[in-house]
Amino acid sequence: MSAANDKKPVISLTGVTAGYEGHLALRDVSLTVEEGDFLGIIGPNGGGKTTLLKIILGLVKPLKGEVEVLGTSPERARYRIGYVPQVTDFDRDFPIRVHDVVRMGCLKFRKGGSKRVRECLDATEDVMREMGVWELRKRQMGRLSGGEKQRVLMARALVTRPDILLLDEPTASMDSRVRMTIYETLLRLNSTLTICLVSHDIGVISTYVKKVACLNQELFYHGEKELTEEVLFRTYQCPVELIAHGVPHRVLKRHG
Amino acid sequence: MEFFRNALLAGMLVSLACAIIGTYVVVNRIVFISGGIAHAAYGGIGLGVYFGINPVLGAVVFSLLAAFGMGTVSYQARQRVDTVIGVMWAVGMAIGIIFADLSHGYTAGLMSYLFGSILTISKGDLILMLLLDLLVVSATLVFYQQWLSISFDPEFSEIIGLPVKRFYLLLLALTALTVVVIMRMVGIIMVIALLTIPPAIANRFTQSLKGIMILACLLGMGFTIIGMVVSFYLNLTSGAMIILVAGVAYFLSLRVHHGSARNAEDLKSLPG
Repeated sequence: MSAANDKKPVISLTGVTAGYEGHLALRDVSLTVEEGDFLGIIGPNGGGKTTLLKIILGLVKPLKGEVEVLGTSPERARYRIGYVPQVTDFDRDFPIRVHDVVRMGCLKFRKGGSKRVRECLDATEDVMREMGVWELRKRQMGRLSGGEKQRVLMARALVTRPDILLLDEPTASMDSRVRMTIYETLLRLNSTLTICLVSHDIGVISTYVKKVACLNQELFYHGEKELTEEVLFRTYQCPVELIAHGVPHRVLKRHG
Repeated sequence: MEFFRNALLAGMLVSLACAIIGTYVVVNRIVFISGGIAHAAYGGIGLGVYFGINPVLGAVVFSLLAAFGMGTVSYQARQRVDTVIGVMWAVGMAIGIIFADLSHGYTAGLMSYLFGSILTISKGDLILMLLLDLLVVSATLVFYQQWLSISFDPEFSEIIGLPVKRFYLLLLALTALTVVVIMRMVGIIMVIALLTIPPAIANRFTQSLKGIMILACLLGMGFTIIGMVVSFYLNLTSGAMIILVAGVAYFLSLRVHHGSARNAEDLKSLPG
């Protein structure tokens, strides 16, 4: 699948099948993410995107197949992944301030001694400024807008100094202006970080990501950013969602 | 008046553990599990009475077993957890009742565990409560950040390497011990109320976990003192009176403070 070059794969799945109680969420999925990639995995809701993320994080075990992350097992590698969950997953009433959410990331360093934790806590200000949420630090997490919460969760992931940033639906239920600013931030981060995200919405991914993969139980992976007619044809199941958003390949080409 | 002084002291001591554990119970949404643990503990009381051991010891063992069982089930399986907890809740209770039947003559004493008997609290009970407070307070001081993180986002916590399951079971074990101690005061049936009402009210006025714990502690102390004094003068069941006071305060807090706390809070914390 991947073009021949000197980049090393940071995530590689080979023939992964996974699911719950007779219902398969993923079937024979093989996928490689290389260092420096900015990969958008698109597919309809229920197409196995969240399961794929959980497999990469070692939270779900595949029924079949091999998973390697940063040259080792997902369980051993996951502390090097900055995970950004969906903002809608959270209890709106949970009593926690924004700065405390970001500080959570520093718990990662507690085994490295108090000095490393201290350094991390000191770094939260810079990271939060970079994400544009420093001014919000005393606000209640549950009272922020979707876009603000997303930036807070990104800041929390970044203070862990990850090698890979993994995002679950980073722009779900946000308006197009907010989506754009989130993706521009990700693009900036991509200069030093490998980024992998999943979304059910092709429109928001198309302009920014370097590579696209289509997932609907099976993976229709396409290394190039542009989706060709042929790929659309081959990944018929997946583009059902794409077609609903207009003519996706044209959108992609225009920004290519 | 020594019994009354002991009762008041017990109220203070229990309110502290109750406020801290209750706050975690409320934000983790494990109220139902706590109720299950409390009722399952009755099995231990029945067995204790039947075999002539200290019923409180029986309750401790049973509630810890229930906490471990329910914790494991709720951590692993995502579905039908409430059914399993409901079954354990009822079976524990049933064991207690059957063994109470079998041990003739002691059933009157068993009633005090169902409805509480704050005025029969001994020095030994007070020492037990003090030990529990020390345990709960020190666990919270040491693990505050970890528990906050795990309560807010267990998945992220696991990814950054926190032992989420162990912390969750530890929380449930402390809940079990707290439940047994509260049981002496207000009885098994009303344990959940004293665990959840003070943090629920506190959460309307403050939005940090620490703040909720402190305010809930003061509220709990207030409710137990007022409840006890009223029940003493009117000669009514003290446990029920404490819960009634707490319940009235809860409904008042809903009316008095409806919506305004959050708005005020948000305004205060606006940047600039």
